[in-house]
Amino acid sequence: MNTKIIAFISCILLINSISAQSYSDSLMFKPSNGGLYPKNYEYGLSNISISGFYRFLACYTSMDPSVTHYPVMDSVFNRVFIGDDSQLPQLSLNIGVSPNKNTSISTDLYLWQQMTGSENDDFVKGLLLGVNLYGTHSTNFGTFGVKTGGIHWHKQSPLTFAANTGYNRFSLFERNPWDPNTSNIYDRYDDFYKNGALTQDERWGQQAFQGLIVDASDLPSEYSVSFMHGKSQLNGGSSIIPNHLTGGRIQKSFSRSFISLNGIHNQTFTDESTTNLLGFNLYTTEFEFKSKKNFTLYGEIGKGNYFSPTYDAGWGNAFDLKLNFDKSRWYKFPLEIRYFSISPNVINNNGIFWNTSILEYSQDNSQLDPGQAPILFPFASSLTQIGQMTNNRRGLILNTDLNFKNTKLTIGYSAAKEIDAISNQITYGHPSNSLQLSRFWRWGFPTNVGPYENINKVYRSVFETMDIDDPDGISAKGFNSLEISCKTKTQINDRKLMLFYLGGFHSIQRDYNFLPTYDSTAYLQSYNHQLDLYYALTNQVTICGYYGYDIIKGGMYTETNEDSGGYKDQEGKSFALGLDIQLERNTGLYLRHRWMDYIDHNFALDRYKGTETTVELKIFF
Amino acid sequence: MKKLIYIFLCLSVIVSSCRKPDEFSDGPDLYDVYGDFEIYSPLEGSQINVDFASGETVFFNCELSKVVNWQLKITGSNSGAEKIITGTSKTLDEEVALWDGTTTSLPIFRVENCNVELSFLTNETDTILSTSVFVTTPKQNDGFVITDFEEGWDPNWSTFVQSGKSMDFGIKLDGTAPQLARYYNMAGTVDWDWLTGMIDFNASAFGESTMSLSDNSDNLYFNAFVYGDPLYPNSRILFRFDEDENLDGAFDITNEDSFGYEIIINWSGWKHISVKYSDILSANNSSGGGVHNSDKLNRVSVLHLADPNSGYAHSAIDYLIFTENEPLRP
Amino acid sequence: MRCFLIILFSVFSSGFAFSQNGKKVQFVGGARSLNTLAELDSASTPKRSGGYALLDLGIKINPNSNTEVMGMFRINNEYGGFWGAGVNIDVRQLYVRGVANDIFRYQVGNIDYKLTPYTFYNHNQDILTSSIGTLGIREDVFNYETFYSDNTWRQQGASLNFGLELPKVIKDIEVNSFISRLNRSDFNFVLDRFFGGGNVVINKDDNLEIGLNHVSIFDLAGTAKTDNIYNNNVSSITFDYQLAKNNFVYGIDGEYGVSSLSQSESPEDSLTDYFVHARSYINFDSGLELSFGILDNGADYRSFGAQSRRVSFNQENNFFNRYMDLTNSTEVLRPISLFDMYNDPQLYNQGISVGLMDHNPIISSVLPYGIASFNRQGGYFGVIYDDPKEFFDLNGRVYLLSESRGQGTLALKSFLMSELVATLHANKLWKGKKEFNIQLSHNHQQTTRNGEFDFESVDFTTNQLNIGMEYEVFEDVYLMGNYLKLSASGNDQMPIRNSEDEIINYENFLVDGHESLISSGIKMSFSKKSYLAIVHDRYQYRFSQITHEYDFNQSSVVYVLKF
Repeated sequence: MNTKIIAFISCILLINSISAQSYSDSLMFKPSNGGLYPKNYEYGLSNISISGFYRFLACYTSMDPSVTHYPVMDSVFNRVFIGDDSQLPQLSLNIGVSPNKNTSISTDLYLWQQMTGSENDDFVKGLLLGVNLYGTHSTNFGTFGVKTGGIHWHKQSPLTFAANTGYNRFSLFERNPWDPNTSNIYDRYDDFYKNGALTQDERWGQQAFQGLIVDASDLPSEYSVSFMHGKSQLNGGSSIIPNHLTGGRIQKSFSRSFISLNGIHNQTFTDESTTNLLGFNLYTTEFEFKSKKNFTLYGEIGKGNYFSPTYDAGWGNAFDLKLNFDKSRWYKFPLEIRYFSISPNVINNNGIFWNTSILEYSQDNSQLDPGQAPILFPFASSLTQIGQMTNNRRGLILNTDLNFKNTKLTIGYSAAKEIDAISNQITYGHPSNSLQLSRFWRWGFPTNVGPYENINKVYRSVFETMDIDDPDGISAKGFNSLEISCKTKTQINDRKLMLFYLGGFHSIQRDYNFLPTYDSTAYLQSYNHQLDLYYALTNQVTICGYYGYDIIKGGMYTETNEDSGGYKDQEGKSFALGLDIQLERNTGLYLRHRWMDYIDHNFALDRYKGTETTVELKIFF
Repeated sequence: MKKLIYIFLCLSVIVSSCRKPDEFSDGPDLYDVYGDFEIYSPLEGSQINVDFASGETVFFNCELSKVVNWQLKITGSNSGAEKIITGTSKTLDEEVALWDGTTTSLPIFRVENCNVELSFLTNETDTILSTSVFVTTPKQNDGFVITDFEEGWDPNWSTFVQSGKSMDFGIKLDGTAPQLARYYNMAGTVDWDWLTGMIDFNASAFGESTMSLSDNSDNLYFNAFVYGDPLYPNSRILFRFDEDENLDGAFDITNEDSFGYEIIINWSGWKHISVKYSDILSANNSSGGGVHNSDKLNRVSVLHLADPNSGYAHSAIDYLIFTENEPLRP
Repeated sequence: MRCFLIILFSVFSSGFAFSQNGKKVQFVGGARSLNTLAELDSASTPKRSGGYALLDLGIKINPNSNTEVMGMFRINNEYGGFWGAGVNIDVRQLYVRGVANDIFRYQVGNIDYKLTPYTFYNHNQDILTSSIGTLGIREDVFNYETFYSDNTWRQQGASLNFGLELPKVIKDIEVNSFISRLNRSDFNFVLDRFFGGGNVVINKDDNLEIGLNHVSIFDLAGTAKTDNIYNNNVSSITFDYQLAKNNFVYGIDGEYGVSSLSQSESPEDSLTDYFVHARSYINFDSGLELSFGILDNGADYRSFGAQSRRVSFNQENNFFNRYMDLTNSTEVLRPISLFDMYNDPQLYNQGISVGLMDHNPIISSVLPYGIASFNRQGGYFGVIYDDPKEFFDLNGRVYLLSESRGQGTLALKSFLMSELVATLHANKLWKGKKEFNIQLSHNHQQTTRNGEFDFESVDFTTNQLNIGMEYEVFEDVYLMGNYLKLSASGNDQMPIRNSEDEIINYENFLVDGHESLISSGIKMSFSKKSYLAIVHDRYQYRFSQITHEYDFNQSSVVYVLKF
């Protein structure tokens, strides 16, 4: 007898005629039914995409102890900090999987090496945006896209769900964590000169959102719809008490225009028994009409309200209208006329305006877990950049751009007024050293700190609070702002040189006035100058320079110092040098060194002087 | 052929699957859980008189309709001794209701009539069944008895009593002894010293220089009955064990072991205490090496202690006995 | 004699290899996102929201064409956790598998395994009705979470198999073996416990297959400070003999074996018994299948590889686990309901458990451990109809069983159970291209016992009805609806067991009520393996004899993607 020893692998495909249901039932006793499963083998995907960046940031701060009186600096005048407490990690990996053309998954993973010197190196790992799932479904009457899972960057309409993009009047000297490397190291400044804007990453103008987003596009008659339900970073947290944000948009597009209906609703409960509602509504219509005669009308009009067990003041109006005139033979320069009015009853910190009227919402609505970074906004009567709106305010904004041969000038002017007299406080910033001052406090957003407990830290900035004690009572204040941005391009030794000047001239006074009040009758005067210089020493090396100067003065009826008896009289200076070095393709090294000197001539403890040095290495892949 | 295989398989399976229902059931009977409670036969002892000293035992019978929790309480009519036997069954018999003369609560049973009561720990009845049994001789305990004070004072003992107030040290016969008739009383007020009085039980009382005990101190248990006075809960007793390591007939504290077992009396009434000899700690810094040599025990001393500020103190002892293998089962 | 090796791969493909096109790395896995908003009327916090998004990323590495190493990790971020908060990274599974010397197939690590219904099998006995629609989605989720498919159990161990061919005597012999670890020694009084076994499958010819099976749960002596060795052995013979005629196939299959359970320090408590199960069937080419079976599982038959349950009812719920008893304003534990079983994958076990697990008589009282339930004997009749035109499918079975040994009485319980699944593909009626499926699934169980005394009487009936519907309104967009009702009435004497599984008492289980679920939703399929579903559930609990009644409403959005 021939004995053939045959070995076989038991991963034999099932006999096709057996259906799945009967397999588990009628073949129950079939002896060969047992063994290891699965019986058939499935191949996986061969390709996944991995991209990301590596960013090393080190910061050394050295303050002069003889003149720095901030309590946070007591006895600790020199500080080394490895990393960036602005939330972004050291190594960030974006992993993407696309099983088919209709679905994809992405997740990010970050690693951070704290370099504490410990033998067990303290690595921190985690996700930043989380696991994101995408799906697309195409039909004859439209394409439906779904996003769910982790954090998505989303925009609906400016008043309902978007981030303020402003008028691109900012200094480029200090890099943001999300700033990309450019092909040539100098392109960042060149783009800013040419376009008036930087190439920003996906989050520009958008807000972070977690939940379900459904977009429908290519609908009949050029309609498009989007819907979202979930949480923004303002109502995030893992509390089991429901706290959700729901919004939607229906847009009808025309050849040169569009009109849309938008809504956003936020609701949570103030008690564990989930009976007392807290939240807000905002419903708007957004439209844009481009005429053939070089003007564009854009606007968003709506109504909103806030509700809580203790607050129900009804609905309020919100307007934001812009009329843009392009350059034409009738007017030689583009002009934007903008009118806005947002009722104190309308709140929505997910939009492009801040809530400065309802204190309890500012404090209580966020239900974030410890360890999460809340996003705070200045409260009270805020001095803001032109374009940054707040509620309880209405005003007129004029913007224009003037282009000359090698110089571009943008000028903005704003005259605004509060609607209701609510607050006897003013908040304002210190542009020259704002980022550096915010780094005095790491890993948190403390309020009422500083030598006079009137400094509040927000994301990469601070604002200061000033009290008003007007014998005529609280007024609906007037706000005037003039901003000038001037960008000049030239050459020295055949090398490009850019000069960017940014000036801001602001006043806050008791009543509305179309023209600014630059004297002590104003509650507050704020003048700031920032001058950036960028010189392309070589194709790989750019020398950067910065000079900043602030003057901020408190006027009549503002708080005085007990010792000096004087109002706030603040003067801030900042001088910085830096180098941008392109080490390799997609690899940039950025060095900055800054000298800071700040003094309030009447508030003796409000004083600091020192230096900050940062080294940033950023590599994209 | 194929059909034959087919038929064979069918038949073999059918035949082998013919199982008769079991003639017993799993778990307790449902009647025991849900049925009515009935007493089928009264409570009876297996004998009227029992001689525990000669090794006799007595058991009790009773038939019930269902499994219940029950309690059998045997009470000495003279001594007041109690023996509690509990169980869960529907039948009381030799297996579950056997009495070997031991006691649950002191005192120990004497020659006396004992009342036996059977009660049921169930809501279904509050019936109590009764019977009785006469103890002709109580249970004898195996072991080395140092004393039970029944023979009175032994001249080989020695004693020391402080000259305090109301001192009352001596053998008592007042019907309250936990074992037989006599016990040793220790009472008085000493306001300058912890020691109120002590008694030494010397090995010479047995005509030897050491007590006839096993040398395996891991297997040797010291037992005593100790009285706690509910009115004077401030007594302590120190049992001290002195070993004559060199067998010269005398204990030398400087180079021979003395072990001490101290108890704080925080109970009322008589209580049986027991300790393994090898667990008793050294009382003289292991001057003799610290090794327990129970076979060289020369003297057992009982010291009555009380805080001098606490006033009058009262305790008593009875039935000092060494047992092997296990503590005394009184 | 000449001996030579021949390697036989798949019947349908040659040159099988773990890796394709020489690629050394492949990726498998899935992702899921779930967001819920739930309301339970009498909870202290009645409205609750939650959710998560997770990615299971498995990396298959093929160092050569015959070997594969697979590690899968899970990234889970909690709903509401921003910028890295609420993130967990865990390992989900790890194994290596391959073919050694082109002969032995092995797998080490996580393995999904089964043998026979009486030795090692996952009967999934608490999901008694078949589901499409919203409940089908939930089944999809909890089966994925617990690695359940094809009645297997997930184990941590190793398996090995190979085959032999003796062509002049029999067709071939397949040998399967496995060993897994059930618990680890604590170096004190818990011994290392293993579960091992295997089978030899003899294919006599195309008509007859015989299997010799053996499994054993055993403690490894010397691994702890105890000599109390636990042992549960089951040996059986399985057979499948079929003959083909012109337009039908008929045959007989079944299993016959013995089991033993013992602990070395209490040999008097050992249990030994036998079991028999035989089924004759006839399958017509028209799609009709008839079967008739008998079974006799001894009262002392124990086989924990086959008698383990996926859900233990002796655990607490993971959400809304307490709610108010309004009669006395106290918080009580909310027992696990049928809706919880569909809603919460964490209630499910992945591997086997040693010892009899608690079951819910409302859900399964006749065969609480599947057909491997001990103390059952009787017969059953089954009908399957698989329409060749795919218009209508039917699967039904009726069991008539009884105990072989009474519990607390010599009177025996009688059992009647009927199961029915009927599926209608209604679009076939009008030859529509868009799917319209309706499925009705029903399970009826009845337990009765008459005895000398009233307290011996048992009359307990439970019905479970599951109606599901899927209607394709647009291409790949489905409307779904489900109605699930579980009702029970009557009384049963439920045994209360101690830790040794001995009956020590009884509970008079008395109920008259129901649970009902109405569920509706919409599903958008992006591909065969991915979809988004929005579901709304309205659930009512009305077993007031057990605990306070409540209503539970839930809206959820679930996105499932597999690759």
